[in-house]
Amino acid sequence: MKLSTNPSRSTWRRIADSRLINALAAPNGMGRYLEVLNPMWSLDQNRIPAYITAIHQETDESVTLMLAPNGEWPGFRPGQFCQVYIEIDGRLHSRSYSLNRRAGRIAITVKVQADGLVSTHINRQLKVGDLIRLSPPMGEFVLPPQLPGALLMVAAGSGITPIMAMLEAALKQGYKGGITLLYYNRDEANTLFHSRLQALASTHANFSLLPVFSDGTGELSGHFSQRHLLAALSFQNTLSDHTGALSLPECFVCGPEALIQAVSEEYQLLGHGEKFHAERFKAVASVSGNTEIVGTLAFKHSRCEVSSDSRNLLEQAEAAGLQPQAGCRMGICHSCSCLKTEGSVRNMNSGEISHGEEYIRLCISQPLGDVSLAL
Amino acid sequence: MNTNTTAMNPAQLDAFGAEIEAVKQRALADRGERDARYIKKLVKIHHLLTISARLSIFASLLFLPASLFGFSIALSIASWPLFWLLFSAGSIGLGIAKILDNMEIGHNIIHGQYDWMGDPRFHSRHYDWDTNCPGDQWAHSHNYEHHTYTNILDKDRDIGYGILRMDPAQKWHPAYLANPIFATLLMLFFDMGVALHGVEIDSLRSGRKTFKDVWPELKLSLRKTAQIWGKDFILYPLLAGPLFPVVLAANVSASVIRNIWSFSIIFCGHFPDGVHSFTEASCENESRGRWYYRQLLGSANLTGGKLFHVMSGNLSHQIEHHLFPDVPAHRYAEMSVEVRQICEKYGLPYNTGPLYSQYATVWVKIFKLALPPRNPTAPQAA
Repeated sequence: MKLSTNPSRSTWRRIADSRLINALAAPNGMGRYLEVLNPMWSLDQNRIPAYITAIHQETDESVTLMLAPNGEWPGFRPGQFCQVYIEIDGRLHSRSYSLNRRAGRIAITVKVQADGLVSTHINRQLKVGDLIRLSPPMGEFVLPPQLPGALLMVAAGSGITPIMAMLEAALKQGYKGGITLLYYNRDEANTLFHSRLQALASTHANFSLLPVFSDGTGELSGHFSQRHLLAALSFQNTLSDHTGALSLPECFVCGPEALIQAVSEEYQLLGHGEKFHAERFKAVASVSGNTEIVGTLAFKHSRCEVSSDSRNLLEQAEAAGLQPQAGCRMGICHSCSCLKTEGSVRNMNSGEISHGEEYIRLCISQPLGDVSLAL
Repeated sequence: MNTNTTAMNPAQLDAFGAEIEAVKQRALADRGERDARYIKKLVKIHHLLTISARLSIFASLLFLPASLFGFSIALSIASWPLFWLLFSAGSIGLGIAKILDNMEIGHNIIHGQYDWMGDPRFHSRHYDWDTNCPGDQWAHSHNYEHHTYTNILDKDRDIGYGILRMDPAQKWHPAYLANPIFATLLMLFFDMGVALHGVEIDSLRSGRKTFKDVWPELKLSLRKTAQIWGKDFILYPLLAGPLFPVVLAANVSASVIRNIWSFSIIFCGHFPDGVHSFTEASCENESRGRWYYRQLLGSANLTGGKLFHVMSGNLSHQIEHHLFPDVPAHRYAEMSVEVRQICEKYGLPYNTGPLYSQYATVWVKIFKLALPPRNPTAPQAA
């Protein structure tokens, strides 16, 4: 079960999780007994319990949860995210949220998504004192250890969350280079961290905030374009003095695919593709009726990808030459149960849709768009 | 055992199947908070009971007369009842904890009844139980073979577990004269029996598999056995130092209590009088309705109170368990009301009775079938 090892683990946790102690609590280990006595004594390094210590309302549609995880939490680098596990009506749902640090606590900011079960639950139902679970931090969308001379950050909507963590960390470290943030939102009221960003801009001369509102109220409007890039660069000394060549700042982008593509193209065009870093927020495929939704079916462990059709995943895996465990082929024996790491599938018996990381039975699951399986 | 006396035509089978399916879909649609709370509560009870039982066993050592003999004879005699109280409470408590883990928690989780929770702690792929058979092996031999091919002769290896003659359609052999002895041994060493059954050890004798075929699975099974027996019969006794045998005796008692109980409940599921068996030919291309029909006729229930149902892992609702193997088992009691009504409507038998009478018919069968068939035209399965 152990995927990560946490070097900062305390001595008592190492002892309680040692081979001998676990042998006394075979087969499921000592952690299961400890967490019955106190949930924070859990030794689970993959689903780390965390109490909600405070909740801040950021906008009408978003909150920041301040979290206190137990001693299994290994710490994170700004820009990383983790899977947040939330129980709703007995089911554990997981979503990726970016991690930030605020007032000595871990903070995640969650914006309500249209029809978003988990984001709505987090915004409307969770209260201080509730227990949620976190995966260890993941992701390589982080600032380089040696900070570059200048930074350009581009974010849209809740794509600000990893950018904000990087920005605050850089400024807190006393970073002296220029940072420009090009930030896309519907309007000011829906802008996450609006006042925090303005405060940062007024206290740090090297940080320039360039908000873009699609309602046209800001200086800039519309989608990302070369004009926006030039406006952002105007805050920085981008022409290096001795060669006269254009030198673009290191760029970090988080937002929808279209924005990432647009910025990437500009950077490629100007010959600075290597300075471009992006984090994608995958939108859940919208599901309508019984129409066949084709996509790519990725078998992660077999390193194999096929284009999918409407047959069940078990048949498609077998057609791709894989030999997954299987049994009854009618959804009762759970032999073919398999972890879906990404994507959505429809349960062919109940019609229920499963989104994101979840165990599914291959023999009764029909893919809806791109799906990745741990197979 | 019985021939099929309740034949239904395909249209009736479809109608019956649709009604049973509707009961299942209603239960599945209703799964949620209540089921999650239930299984979490049970796991909590199991863990707390295990901890207190093991503590009680070790506490009993303090009152062992031999250990007090140095102080005074009177004190050592007076401590006898306390020793026995703590020792028996610990052994029985640990036995009950093992029963809870194996039956209501492990068996049902490994069936995938709680997979929908998305929590690895309650997921069939991750949960392992406190017995010798590795959970994933069990998931194959039991969930797939036994539950898909229930009571089909030569397909369902649970008919007689490869060593017993539990159905008159099984061909008699002189070795079956020892049927009652084998049954008793299987009862006492049921944990090992289940583990060996999981690796199809019996197929060595029938020649269907070679040792080389069986070894990879057998190795995993023996490793799991070493883990569980190592814990109960070596590690915990070692903690008692020179009083090793006392803790060993307590842990052996706990295992045997669990073995006898599990054997009894499980044998009452498919072997009492009135349970039907089927031939492979009659089950080819069977419809969903026919599958439900076979599950119903191939299983038998036990009557009892709520505590009895929990202790039996709700296998006392064997019929519902076979109709709905992946519905959380604590719902079987309420579902059985509807199932019985549907059975009555279609004139189908619903085999149920108290433990003692069902169990008696099982033992009668174990003795009877040890002997060769008196009637040369033995009844054939449907």
